Amino acid sequence: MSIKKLRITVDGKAYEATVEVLDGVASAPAPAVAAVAAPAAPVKSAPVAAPPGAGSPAARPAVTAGSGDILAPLTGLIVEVKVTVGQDVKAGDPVLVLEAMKMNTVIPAPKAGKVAAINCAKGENVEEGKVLVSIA
Amino acid sequence: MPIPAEFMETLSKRRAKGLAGGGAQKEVDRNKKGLLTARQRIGAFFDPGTFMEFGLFVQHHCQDFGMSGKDIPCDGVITGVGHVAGHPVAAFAQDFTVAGGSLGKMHAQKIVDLMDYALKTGIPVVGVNDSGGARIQEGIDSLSGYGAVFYGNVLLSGVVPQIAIIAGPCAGGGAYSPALMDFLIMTKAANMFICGPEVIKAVTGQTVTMDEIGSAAAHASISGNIHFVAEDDRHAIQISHRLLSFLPANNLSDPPHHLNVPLDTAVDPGMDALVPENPKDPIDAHEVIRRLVDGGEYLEVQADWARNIITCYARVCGVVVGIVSSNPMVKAGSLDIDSSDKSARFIRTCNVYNTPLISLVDVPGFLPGKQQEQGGIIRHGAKMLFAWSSATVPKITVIMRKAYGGAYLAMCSKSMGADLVFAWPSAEIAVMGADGAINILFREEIKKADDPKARAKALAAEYRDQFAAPWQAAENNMVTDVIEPSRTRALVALALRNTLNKREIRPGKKHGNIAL
Repeated sequence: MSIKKLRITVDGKAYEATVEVLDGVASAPAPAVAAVAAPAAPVKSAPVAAPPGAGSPAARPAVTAGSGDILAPLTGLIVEVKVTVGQDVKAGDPVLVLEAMKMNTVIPAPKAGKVAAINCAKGENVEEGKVLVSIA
Repeated sequence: MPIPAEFMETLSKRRAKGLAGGGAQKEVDRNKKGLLTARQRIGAFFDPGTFMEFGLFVQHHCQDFGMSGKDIPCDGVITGVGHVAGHPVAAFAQDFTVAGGSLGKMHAQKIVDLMDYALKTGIPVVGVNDSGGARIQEGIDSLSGYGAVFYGNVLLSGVVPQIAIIAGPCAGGGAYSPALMDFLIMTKAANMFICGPEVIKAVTGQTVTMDEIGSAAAHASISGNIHFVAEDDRHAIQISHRLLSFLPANNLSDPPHHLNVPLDTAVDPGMDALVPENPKDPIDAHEVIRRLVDGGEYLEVQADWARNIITCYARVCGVVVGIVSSNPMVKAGSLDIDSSDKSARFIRTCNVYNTPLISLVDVPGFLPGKQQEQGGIIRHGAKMLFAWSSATVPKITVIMRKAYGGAYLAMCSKSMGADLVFAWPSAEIAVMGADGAINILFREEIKKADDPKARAKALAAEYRDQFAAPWQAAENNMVTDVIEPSRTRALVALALRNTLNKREIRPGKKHGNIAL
């Protein structure tokens, strides 16, 4: 199963859509179609390896994979800036933690690269849609 | 005496003409572009050898604008009934290779006839849309054809499942037939819009691209008009098959439960591990769903739109369920206009097709903001309340963590008609968050304190211990039980079996008046 991403930008705001290509795309109607949404089933009773937040499919970045701009997904308080200017990051690395609605939202890097600019600081209140960090 | 040979020849010739559609060259051209023809789509959709065609020889009767004698095989749409995984399904496919798949009087009549048949026989309808729009030469016959199709869509709505595949242009009024159906699957090659970029430019002066307003990506993530994005025609057909595997043939049947699957009473310690120690760190709701459902497989509906809520189909120990889950990783799982619309529609789709509902709750509240208030969050949030309260299918609620205020009610509390409510020990069931509550309850006391900040902090901690927990709700009989997360799958499976025969009689009425 491979995942393809479509992206679209409206008025400078980027949106993304994920398409999963199912296995067994055959000319005849596929009798047993693989799950559209579920990656490999977890082994039952196994402990959860990865910490929730970073890198999980649910934490897909809210910006386009092509753009390195990280926008505030909602209005809130920056509680942690996990990177410094010039630092190398991988796609999915946690970059910022934003507290809003009684919850910490981990904002991951949309793509691999170098942190080009940080436009926010710990303790700062930011508006939804503000460019917080740019990755080049 | 055998039937005369010339009769058979005429039949063969006429049939071959109808089956050829726009001809071999157009088929080759389309296939080169990665597109299937209407007939190839029908072939890929149905079990081999099961397609029974309706109206192969139908022709238009238009005499105007040089249309007299013009041959439009099948009048641009293939209709009929076949089997999908052994079950009858009605399908139509507009044929872009003849007259651009344009909709004329007979074209529309064929679709309406097919829908009538599906209604009478209680079978789902799947329509492949690939049409340039109204057949202008046929004038208002074409226009009234659209009207008849829309009317049919509405007549069938809530009786048999209707799935639209958008596999080419779908413009103007043509976009409203899919919009009246239950699910829209759109391929990357397709586009759908009411007014295209040229019209927008001419009327408003705005410059927009087709990608921005009409692409599958735009509809999947911005407008919320569609439910699934498909890579290509075959992928779209696969998605429709998977969707049908969760749907009953009609509203008088149950969805295809696999009740021979034994109950699973095993505990799953992995579920306990999904609750982070810090209450401000979000739970991975997708992972909770994977652990809850059979084989970790679920079909997410509208996965890219309003991602602060998750809607999906799955089975739990064989029982087909619709799951509505908060997603605390996006917008903290708060409810807003789009997530209310998304979940309300899904809840109503499940209810109308007898699909039990599971609500997984971790909701901090409604999203504050000017846009939300001015955009009518009251009206949109009301849709969720309306949908849950009016749903008579089994409703099972699991409170994972946050369950605050009106947003909790909008996720189906016991008072909103949940049949069974399970709370994890991490549940925080309260009318509002601690900080907000103590500022109201102890305003004077905090103001008078020597160190107001410290006093507020202490009071908030006290409030949190006492009220941001499942215990007050449990003591007041608002939850059925407080359970270890590890027992969630076992208990939900049991709850579904116990509740499956639920029957609820409501006062007779034409229909409720949902806020729209």
